[in-house]
Amino acid sequence: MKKPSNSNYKPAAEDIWTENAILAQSGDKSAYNELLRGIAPFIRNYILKSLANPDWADDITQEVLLSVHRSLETYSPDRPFRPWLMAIINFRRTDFLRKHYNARENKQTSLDSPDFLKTHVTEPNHAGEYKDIESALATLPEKQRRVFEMIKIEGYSAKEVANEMDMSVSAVKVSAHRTMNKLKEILG
Amino acid sequence: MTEQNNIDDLIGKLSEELEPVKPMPHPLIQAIPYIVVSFAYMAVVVFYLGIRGDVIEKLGDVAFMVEIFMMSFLAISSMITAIYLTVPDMRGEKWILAIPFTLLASFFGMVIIKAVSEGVDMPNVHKMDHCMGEGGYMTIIPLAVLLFLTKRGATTRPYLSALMTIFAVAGLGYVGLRFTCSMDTIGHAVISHMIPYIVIGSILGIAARKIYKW
Repeated sequence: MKKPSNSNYKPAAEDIWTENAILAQSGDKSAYNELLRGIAPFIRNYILKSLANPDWADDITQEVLLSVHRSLETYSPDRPFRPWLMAIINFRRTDFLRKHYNARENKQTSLDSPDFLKTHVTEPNHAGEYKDIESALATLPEKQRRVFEMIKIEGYSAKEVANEMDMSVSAVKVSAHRTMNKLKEILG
Repeated sequence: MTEQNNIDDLIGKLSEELEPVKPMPHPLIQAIPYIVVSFAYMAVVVFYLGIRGDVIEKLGDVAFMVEIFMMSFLAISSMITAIYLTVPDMRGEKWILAIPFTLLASFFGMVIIKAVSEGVDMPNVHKMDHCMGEGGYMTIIPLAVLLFLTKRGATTRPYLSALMTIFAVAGLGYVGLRFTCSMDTIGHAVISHMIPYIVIGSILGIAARKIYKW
């Protein structure tokens, strides 16, 4: 890589990565070690802000490092290193999240579980909304709340709720609709 | 053991395992010989199976030649794109993806115009089997070689890789079949000549993540 002639020139991290990647391709283990040590915190910090669970950042960082190792031959010395690395980071992050959320679909977790918010809410900053909904529901009359919970949360049909609550089907639907409007009003 | 220690250990292990690697050649350097050999192979199969009787007349038909050039360019651009996709960042040339999609859209535009102006005229079953078999001979080896070439890399877009692979062989097969099959109706050309590739493409698409796993 061409460097400016100025003696005060200090290469940016990306230039160092590019140089080290080229040396690594020729088998230089210390340059490779320096490269991996340089990119590991960058990868972690980059992905951390987009993850619900900070613990995942370390798993994905390890996946990315392994991927860099496996695909080192696809890096072209005439190209900057960072875009190549970013493509791998984004691919591995998406892959990790896809596997995680696919596995999650098969799990059943109680809303009361202390781990629920950590493992099942994508955006933890919005986790408090569950508590807001619970509070809003608590303000409703018992029968109206029970109808709403059965039809909207527990997944019963209007007919099943009507039988259980000794109401007509249309009355159940009207009650659920009114409750939904009331909740929207309370929650803004 | 903390996660940081795990990462440090992994870095140490990977550094120890490092072997010198030869950087992959530029995608164009890989693609050009493949394109030349694939088209040459298709031409040999076409000659072996027998060229349609009215080929001289058809070579003077502008609509036929536009169709041939369009599908040839679709095959070539898809072959190049499939090989670019073997590099994680596509060497920054993501715009190249637009070419095969534009050509395919143009082809379907042409299909619609022909269907409206000439009628669809659906094929008979016997002729359909015949063309499907011939298309298979023309493209089975180019398909296998392209899968081998694309699997060697590290694609970050497995579905697009599968799609470009099938566009490449479908274009190649379509061009070859237009020189062996004398049925020019759009119903036959699309149903008999394209359906096998749609089926293969669907299988490749479903298995893309496994095929291009690295």
